[in-house]
Amino acid sequence: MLTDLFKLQMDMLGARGELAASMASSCLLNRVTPNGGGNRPVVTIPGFLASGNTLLRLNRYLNHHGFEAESWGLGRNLGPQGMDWSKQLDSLIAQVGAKIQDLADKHSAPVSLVGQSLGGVYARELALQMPDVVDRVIMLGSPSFHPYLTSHVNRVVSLFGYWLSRQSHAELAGRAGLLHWDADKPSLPCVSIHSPLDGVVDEASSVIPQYIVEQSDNSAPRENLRVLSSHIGMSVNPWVLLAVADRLVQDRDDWQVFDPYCYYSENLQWVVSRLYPPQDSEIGNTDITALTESG
Amino acid sequence: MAVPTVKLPDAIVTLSDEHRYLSLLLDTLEEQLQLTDLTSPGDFFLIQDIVHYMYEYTDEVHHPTEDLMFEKLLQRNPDTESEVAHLRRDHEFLHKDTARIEKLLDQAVKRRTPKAAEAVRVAASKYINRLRRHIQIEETELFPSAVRCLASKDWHEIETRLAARQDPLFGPNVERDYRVLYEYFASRADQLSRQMTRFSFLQLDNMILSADAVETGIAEMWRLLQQNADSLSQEFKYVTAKSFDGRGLAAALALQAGYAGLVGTTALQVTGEAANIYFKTLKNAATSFFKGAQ
Repeated sequence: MLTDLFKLQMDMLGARGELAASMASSCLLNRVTPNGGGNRPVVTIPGFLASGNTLLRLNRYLNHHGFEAESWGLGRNLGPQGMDWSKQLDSLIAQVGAKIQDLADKHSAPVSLVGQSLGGVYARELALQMPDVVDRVIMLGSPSFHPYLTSHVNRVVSLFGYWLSRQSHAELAGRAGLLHWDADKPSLPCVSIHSPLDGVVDEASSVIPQYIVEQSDNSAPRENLRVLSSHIGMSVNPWVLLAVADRLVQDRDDWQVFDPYCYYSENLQWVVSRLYPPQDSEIGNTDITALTESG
Repeated sequence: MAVPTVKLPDAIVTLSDEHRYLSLLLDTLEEQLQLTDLTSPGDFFLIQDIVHYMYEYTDEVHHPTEDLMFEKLLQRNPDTESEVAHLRRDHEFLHKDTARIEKLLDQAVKRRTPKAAEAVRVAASKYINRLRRHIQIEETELFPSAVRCLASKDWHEIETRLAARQDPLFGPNVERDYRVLYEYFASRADQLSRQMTRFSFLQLDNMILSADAVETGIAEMWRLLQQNADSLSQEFKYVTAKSFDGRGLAAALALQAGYAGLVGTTALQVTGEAANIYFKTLKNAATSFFKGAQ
């Protein structure tokens, strides 16, 4: 528990650094960010215990670059608060779903969902329920709620969750859990942005499992995007913001994986390889045979 | 001389692999029964999913395939009749057991009483022991006999039966209903490989090499000191005497520095060698740890 508290503190500290880096580099970032073209509605959903204001910078950044980004409009995200998941989902569809539908009607275009942490889980589940009005889902450090792998989320944060909802992780997710999408359903692109430095959600939980990524095709792309960032600071981190904007403008019919090198000068290639470290092949790419052999 | 190798029939390889997976599931089931007190719904999920797999795949596909193999074996080798009859009976009992455990689990989830939990524990323990024993008899007695006696036509028939339904959990494609269970094992396997990688920092052979280098170095330094103890002592006395009368101080100090240099160089060499071995160990471990990132 103490280790988790320390990790949370370090994560918060990192987020402050990333905010400062974001402010310092905004001029450079604005120069290279791709433009959304003016008719790309985006709804952003904050993480557990965070208010919509935590995504203010992300929304402003996206709006500045030709997107129509709005916060989810429900203020602070307090999690399920004792409701079982189906009720929570119904309530989300009634409130956030209505907003997504309105935006889609207003722009005559499907809406992209960007969710941070638990907000990403909400985005994932909302898109499953209303795939016709959703364009794509981008998750920032969002876990899969596996019914019996409970150590994937920082225990301090889990404890807050338990105090608020009075139900365990397993009870909230149910026997089927809230896993990452299947490879073929829904037919929407899904990008999981995850970090090895994440102090709240274990990277192994936010990564879309490798077998799902391999089975997916261009009709329903599943992409893992690794960045060097704190969990809390993902919505302000300049290189994460750039990745989000890039994934939002990516053509759905000709999906290409994110290439950070095209945004930075050649002199910074080494830095880029650190900011966007390659996927760890050991995460999500599994050999269960090793488990049977280990006894 | 080259050792002749025998290619085992694919069906036997698949059935043996499935036995390994079954053993993993039984170990997990046993571990889970010991770890949880079976009072909250979350305690039951893993057990329910494992038993459901046993019911849906092991009882419906794995055991009937074995039954077909036993039938063929009986035709080819009537001496195995008693073993085959015993194992077939086992399959029936195991099927009844899984159905019963599923029912008991449903009751325990609803009732959440210690009595209902105990009923699950007793039934599951009995099932685990029976299936483990059953697998052992198959692996040691009937499978080798089948490999010896069955013709390729028989194996073809068995393989066709196996191919009709792929393993939904450990097969090439994980079925949607089994994703939760698969990702649980995937996560455990990841953790295992990470532990193994981390453990390589402390690999015993490298530790022994390093310790040996340090010990050899210390022994060398000690030998040098002992060999030169007399002359060092004389030199010390000489330098002290000369220092006081002010003559030949520089020459004496130079001699002393020479000895210090000799011992120092040896120490440096030893430290360097030990550091080099440690560096190599760490590099190897880091390379395997970050090999995905390269």
